Amino acid sequence: MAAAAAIPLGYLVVRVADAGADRAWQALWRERTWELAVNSAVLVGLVSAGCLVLGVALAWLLTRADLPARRLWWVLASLPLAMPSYVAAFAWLATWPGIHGLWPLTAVMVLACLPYVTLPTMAAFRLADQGLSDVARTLGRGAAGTFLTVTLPQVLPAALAGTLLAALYTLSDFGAVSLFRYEAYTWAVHAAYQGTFDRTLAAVMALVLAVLALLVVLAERAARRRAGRGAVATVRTTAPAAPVRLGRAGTVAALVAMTALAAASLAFPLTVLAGRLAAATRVEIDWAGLGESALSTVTLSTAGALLTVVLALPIAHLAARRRTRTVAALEGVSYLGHALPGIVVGLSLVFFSLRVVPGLYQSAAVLCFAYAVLFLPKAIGATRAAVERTPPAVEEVARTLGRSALRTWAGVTLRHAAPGVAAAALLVAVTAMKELPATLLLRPTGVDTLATELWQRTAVGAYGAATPAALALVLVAAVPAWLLSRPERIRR
Amino acid sequence: MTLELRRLVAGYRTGPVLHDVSLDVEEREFVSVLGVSGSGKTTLLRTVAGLHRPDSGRIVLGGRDVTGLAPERRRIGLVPQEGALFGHLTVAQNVGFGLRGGRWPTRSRPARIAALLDLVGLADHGRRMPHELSGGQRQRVALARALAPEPDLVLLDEPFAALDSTLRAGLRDQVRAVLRESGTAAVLITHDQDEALSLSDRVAVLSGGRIVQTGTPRELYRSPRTGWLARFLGDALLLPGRTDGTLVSTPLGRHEHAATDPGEVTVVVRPEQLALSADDAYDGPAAVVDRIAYFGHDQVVHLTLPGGDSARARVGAGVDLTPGARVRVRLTGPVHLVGTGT
Repeated sequence: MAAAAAIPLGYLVVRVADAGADRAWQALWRERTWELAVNSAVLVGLVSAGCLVLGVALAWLLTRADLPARRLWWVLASLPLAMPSYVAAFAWLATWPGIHGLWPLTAVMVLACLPYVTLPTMAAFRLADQGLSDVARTLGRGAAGTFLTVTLPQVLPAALAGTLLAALYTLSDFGAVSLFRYEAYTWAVHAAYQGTFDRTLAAVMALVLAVLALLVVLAERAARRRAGRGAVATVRTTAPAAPVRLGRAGTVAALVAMTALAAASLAFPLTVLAGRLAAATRVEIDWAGLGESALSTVTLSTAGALLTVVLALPIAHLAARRRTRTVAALEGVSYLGHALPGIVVGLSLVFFSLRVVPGLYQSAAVLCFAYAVLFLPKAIGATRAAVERTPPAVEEVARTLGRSALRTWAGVTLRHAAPGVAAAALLVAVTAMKELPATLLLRPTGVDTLATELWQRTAVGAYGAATPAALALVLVAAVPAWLLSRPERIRR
Repeated sequence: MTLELRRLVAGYRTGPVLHDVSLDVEEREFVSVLGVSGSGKTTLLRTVAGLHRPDSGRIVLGGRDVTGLAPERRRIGLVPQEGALFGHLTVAQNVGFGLRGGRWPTRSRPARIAALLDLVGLADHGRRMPHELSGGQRQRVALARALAPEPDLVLLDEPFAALDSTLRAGLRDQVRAVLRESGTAAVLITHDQDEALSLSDRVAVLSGGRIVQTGTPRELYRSPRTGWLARFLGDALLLPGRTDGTLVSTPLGRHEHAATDPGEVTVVVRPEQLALSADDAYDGPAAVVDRIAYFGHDQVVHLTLPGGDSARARVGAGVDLTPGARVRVRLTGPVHLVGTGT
């Protein structure tokens, strides 16, 4: 199963090697390659820094400060997950067609990626040991010093893991980048694939992009190893901290800031879309086409989610129960999809299916497989945590009561894990609905999902015609996102 | 006087938890605050440490009024449950965490850290990470960390509760010895009466947010103010009695007690005050042995008294008894009286 996750990268290497070293070098050593890489790196750096700072601050406000209507803010903080970055980008562009380039793009990406940092950091703040802060205070550190030396090290591993997700999302983002006409690497890979018939160039560029993504992962690991020593061994000793009172001015400032964030990331795009839709009723809406796209979006993402969860279950079970080197390696390989941008997986699967299983080229099966490769890590993470909820002692008791190993697993472990597994499937489904570049490359001929339809219309400047698809996409994706963001889930 | 608590009232939105708590801790003294969970002892500790603001009352430390002072400026050390070591710092860095500012110039710190690790018997563990230590070692590091900046007072929040019983006894003695050697006054928060009685110079019993009695372990055990206190501080049989002022009559006979007004009273009898004889060597009332809990060093014999009351006698392990046997019971020594209805 884990081997499946390694197919795309492996095949890409084979494809480049086939083309011959000369041509590969030629493609690699163009000045343009490096220009694009620097563009991508600058974008990723800015978005990561923005998400880290804003995300930690927001998570602190949402967990530690004494704010009115906390649950509402929790939901608002996680809902941007349902808003694909290119839909947000579309909304801004539809309002001000003139904005382009790095800074607006950075702003849109930070708004879109913020929940990746906020949500895990909130959980870390809630788990952070208040006893440690108490001790630090009695040892002579002030409130700010305690936060920096004691609390921050406890939440930093979670915040960095979230920042990694944001960085990878940004690096592999294709829709927003191309809408804002920023010459990032993904945009160039797509252009090389579509624009020229030189598939070698596209393959080489995809490989470079994969290497960039792996570098991000390695950087995060190094940073987390240094920061993460504190995550081990501390046992929670006291009740959760009393909420911090911000005072009237502080509360107002915090509420204004959070309202502005919610407005920019949710209310503004939705309002623009709704307004556009109202204006577009004069134009004929292609209801049949829209329904068809929505249906194929739901079908493809559901099938992809099911396949992903089925692949993830055995790996997650092994990872939760048997910590051996082989299992750790297996799990590591499965996480490759995490680092591989959708366009890289899409492109390599195009090559792979053409060469190895031509009959499946541009079939729904290959697309579902691409979803599985891309989102396996998400599913494993959630499923593994769910499996770990069943203590091994409970399984052992079931065995002594006469259940076979398999029946124990199905009747006890899986039963306990079911909510987590369902959450994993939802998570994959919502991500697959929004996925653009791989879907664009691999979708069966003649089939459009809401995401591809939106992108195609926008690419030719038909903002009015694109609106129904954008709105439908947000609505469809909001259902699983809302299910995932319910407060009791965050609190756990 | 090191610590003076004057009429402290503290609580949360749901209402006050501490009502009018006053307590003194002398220099170098070890005082335990003993209470069941929910009695307010954690709130008391957090209030003294400065982590919780009292509604009224004063906290005076070494002559300074620290009531409104931030915790970092009070010079009160804290040893929380399970240590709460900083997991991202080494043992030595944990101990050195509070060594800052002009009082502790950088050059003086390593020696201070080494001295404290030596004091708690972990001289060669400075480079370890907290997760590499056992539970008892973590508690000792936490104590060294609290003592490092030479606080005026150390607060110990049930530091032994999470350890298993064999480890606990050894660590209690060690902690007590370390505190004696450093000469730091300490307040121990605990729900374990054995721990409070065996470690402390004085014990304050907290119940329902009020201090119900303060005294040396001996005073508290021998002369509890109420029947509830008598039972809380150890096993006790409460018998009805009638006194003429110096002698009290109970189902077990007539006994001496400290002079008081005549009338109806409740008599506190400790299990070790009862002696048993299987061969009618005493002329006390006869009782029936129900069952025996044998501890090796002694045994507790559960009895049914003539009136139907049950009682427990703690007797030497040498006495051979079997359930169902008839024994004579004798109450030795003077008894302690509490008012009826308590």
